Amino acid sequence: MRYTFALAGNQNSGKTTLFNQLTGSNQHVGNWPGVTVEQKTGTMLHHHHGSQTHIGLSWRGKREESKTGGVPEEDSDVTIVDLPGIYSLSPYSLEEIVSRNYIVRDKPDVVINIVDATNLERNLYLTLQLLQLGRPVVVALNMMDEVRSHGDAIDIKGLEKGLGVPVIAICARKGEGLDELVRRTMQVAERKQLPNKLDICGGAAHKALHAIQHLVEQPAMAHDIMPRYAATKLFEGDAPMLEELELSADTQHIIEEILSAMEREVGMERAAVMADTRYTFIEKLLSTCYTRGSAEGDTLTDRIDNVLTHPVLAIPVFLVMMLLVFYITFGPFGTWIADGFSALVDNGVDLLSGALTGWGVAGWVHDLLINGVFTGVGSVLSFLPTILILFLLLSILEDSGYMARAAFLMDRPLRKLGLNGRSFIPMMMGFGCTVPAVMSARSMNTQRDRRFTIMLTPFMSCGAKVPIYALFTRAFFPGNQVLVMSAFYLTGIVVAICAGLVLKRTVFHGDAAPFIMELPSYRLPAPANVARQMWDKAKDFLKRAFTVIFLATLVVWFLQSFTFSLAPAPDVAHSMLGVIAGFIAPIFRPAGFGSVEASTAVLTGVMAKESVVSTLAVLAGVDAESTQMLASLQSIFPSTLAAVSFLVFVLLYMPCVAAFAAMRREMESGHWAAGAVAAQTGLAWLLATLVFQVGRLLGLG
Amino acid sequence: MLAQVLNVVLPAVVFGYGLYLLIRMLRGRARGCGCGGCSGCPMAHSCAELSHMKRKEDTHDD
Repeated sequence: MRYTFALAGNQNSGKTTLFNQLTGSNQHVGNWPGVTVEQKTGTMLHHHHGSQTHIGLSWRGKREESKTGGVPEEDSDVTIVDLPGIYSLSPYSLEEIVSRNYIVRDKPDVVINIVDATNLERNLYLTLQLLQLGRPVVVALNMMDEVRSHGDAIDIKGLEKGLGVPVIAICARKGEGLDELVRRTMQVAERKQLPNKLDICGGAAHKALHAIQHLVEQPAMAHDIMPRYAATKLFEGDAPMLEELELSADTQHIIEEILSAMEREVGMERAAVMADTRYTFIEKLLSTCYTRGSAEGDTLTDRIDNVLTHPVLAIPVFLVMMLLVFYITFGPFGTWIADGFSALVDNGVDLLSGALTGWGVAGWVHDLLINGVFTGVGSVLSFLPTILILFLLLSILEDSGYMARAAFLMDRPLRKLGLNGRSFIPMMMGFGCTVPAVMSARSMNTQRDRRFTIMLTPFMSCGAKVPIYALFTRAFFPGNQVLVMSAFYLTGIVVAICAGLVLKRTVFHGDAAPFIMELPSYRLPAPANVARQMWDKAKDFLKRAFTVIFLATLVVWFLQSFTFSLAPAPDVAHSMLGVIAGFIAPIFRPAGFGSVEASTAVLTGVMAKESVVSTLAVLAGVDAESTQMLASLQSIFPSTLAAVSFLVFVLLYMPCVAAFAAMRREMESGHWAAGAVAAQTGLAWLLATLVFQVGRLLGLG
Repeated sequence: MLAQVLNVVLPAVVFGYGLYLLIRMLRGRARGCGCGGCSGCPMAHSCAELSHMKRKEDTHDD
């Protein structure tokens, strides 16, 4: 028998963590709300055999023997669907629409409602609505470790009795209680056990609800919707539900009369009546089932937030935090690690070069492999430790819950641009890679906000640009790498702000949608989560090095080694590359880097930004980390000013083709994406030229 | 003899792999797949293209 279980709950309640535990997958878990914007599915590792539950295996999990011992594993027959986090079943945001539509239309066998046990009052609001949907429900009370650490106590049996559904205490992060959760859920699925009927309304609200239910019973059942659920939604004034039921005008009029009379009697607006009813029920339930261990007062999270979200201290603290990240990555420690790794790569290339010479291979084959492929790919590979350190630190900040605070802090400044704090999340992701950052803009509520955010996201320096900055700052700013690197990151942000102000007044008039976000509790970063992200990042980077960078290097080597008649080129100027770049180079002369090498690097950077480094290394014929490379760079860029101008251009010009394709898809328009990319490139050229020309006037060039 | 064999095999492997990458990437990049694949992408779970590719694989498996 195949089953489908849906995971539903508030944002940041641990759904994706539970999903990863149950399916053995490694979906991205961000400790800030809104990471999941669409449902995702997986196959459960845990499976059921007879009356026993066996825990399937991932190499991360513990193996537990079945109760009867020695029973062979079976393939899982359970699909798990992770829904986006929602606070209610009202259709006000994309996440709520996706979740609600899935549960009502696709009818999963069981809805596993993950509840953050440290915040029961808010989480149970959704629970009460899920119970009305006519699907079997199981409540998973998550984060029980934090409940215990606060000294609080929850009467699980009391909650079960009060809600009328099974309630299981778990800690998804540590894998606690999952066996029991799976066992009870399978039981509920097999028995098709529906929730006990809960009547939470009283008085006038109760009468009104029952009257409406009676009126809409037939149309609701005709549309395969639970009458109680339909009645509740109509009570709340849910427009999509009204539309879906296709009620006659007379019926709608009667419902309106009923609700108006109720509002007059109760003295409250209808949606408020329902909310008040639910919270009253929850308060009463928790008064018997929840005991606080310590006196009400500031938690550790509150005390930390008093500093980190202080009206005056917050932004300086954020800037210091970012500066510290850069110092560790690009300062003495990071440089030491990078140099060591680079030496390993160099030694490998030298060994291969010696071997090829010893075997007597042709000069051009040696050149292809050593000066082409291995120099190009090796140049980028040597920055792997730098990338890993940077993303380790950012992962720790994200996992701890601090990045959610950063989004909260950014709401006010972003609102001045016509955006809200929710835009900060895609922008922060843009410091990793523009492609997922652009995709995550889907979480914005309006198309205006989405397009606006997508246009500004590429100004954030993605991880692929780190090797470029590292190379140039080492060559032109030795001893000041951290400061210069930070300055470039800040420049991207400043340009995004200025671009945002212009766009607000021209293309994107109006204000952003309101922004409500839950601040998750601070927690120690889970080492497994951080390690998994580091491993993914390393795999990612290596894959890129041996795919797109490899290809770019090969193409550049070929074009610079041969003429159009495929004869060996005496020098770069007479090669195919020299001719092609010769058309483009003049464009960059006003910006100070109108050489064949620089123009080619800019072109190959369109495929992948790291290609800028590998291209320069191939054209200079030396490894990027070698001292000769630094000398070659100084001949390609005759002054520090020219190098700065080049970096400004690289910082701001169009993102890679993959990012462009993602922009086209998410903006739902090729014209918008092309326009955005053209504007970015034009702005990059303008600013680079300005920097160079003004710098020359001031005598800096 | 070894040198002659290597002079043919090594470039053939390098350019053959390059051609394979070019074809694969032209297809992938046009769909907006970034950063060397989906394994580390935080949006892989909701990627329309990944779902599309998985559906194609499922169809082929049938």
